[in-house]
Amino acid sequence: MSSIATAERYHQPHAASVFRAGKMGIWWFLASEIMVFGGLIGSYLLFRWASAGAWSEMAHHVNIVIGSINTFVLLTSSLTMVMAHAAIEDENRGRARLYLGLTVLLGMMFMGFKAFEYAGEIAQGFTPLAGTFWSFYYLMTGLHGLHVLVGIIANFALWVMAVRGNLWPNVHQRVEYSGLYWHFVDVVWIFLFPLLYLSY
Amino acid sequence: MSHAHTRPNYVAVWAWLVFLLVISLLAVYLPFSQTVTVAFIFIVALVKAVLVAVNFMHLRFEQRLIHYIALVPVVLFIIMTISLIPDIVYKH
Repeated sequence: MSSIATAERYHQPHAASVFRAGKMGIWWFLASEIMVFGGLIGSYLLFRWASAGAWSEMAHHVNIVIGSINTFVLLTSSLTMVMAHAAIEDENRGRARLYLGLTVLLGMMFMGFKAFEYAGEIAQGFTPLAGTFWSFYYLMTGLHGLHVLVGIIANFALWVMAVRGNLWPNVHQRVEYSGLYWHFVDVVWIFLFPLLYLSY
Repeated sequence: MSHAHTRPNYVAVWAWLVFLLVISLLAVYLPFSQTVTVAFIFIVALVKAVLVAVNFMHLRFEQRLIHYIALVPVVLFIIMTISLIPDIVYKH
């Protein structure tokens, strides 16, 4: 296929059946991200297994209430993200703006709760150097938090474009790719939550 | 515009996700052995992840190539973790 033909197809806003290089690219990126978090999660599982119960005591000190609220917040932000995508498919600009804005706000709420949680833990002396569990805890939640931050920035940029009206016409793919990334970050948290908060 | 597929009921998927979150929280306080509880909450987590991937990430509408791209690293992760068991768990 010539590059011109590819470009023409790519710029068809709703050509759902056409293979899109961008979607392939974002999935390829997410695949590499699975390996990044997979390496951390695998190491955590193995070291925890090897420690034979010594981590349980440390794992008792995480804040299940805040962890649960944050899980709820992130699950809800996935809903608003996918609703933003649906609104774009329906070419409903008002709803797209609303849901993109809500997704950004929920992401910021997640980060706010996480910061509050970190502050409480550090105040009690549970720093990253307080033990192997805490090293893993800060590394995994910190890396996840960075991903949330990147998602907030991407969605905020899309929201600004939506408000200014220049998000259209190539909007469909942008919101879809940002959404795929955002849902992936949600999936990572779905595993981090039981790993760090519930399995003591 | 016309859709190539029927849109999932996103709110219902979200309600299931919240329900599963509550279930896994309750499981922690039930008087089962730690092994049973941990196995249960990770099965619940797996179900939640699949719900998000299939419905919100639209994997159910994607072509096979995308499925492979998503699944291969998961298989690699499992192989990598299992192959490290002798080194870390039994020699640590």
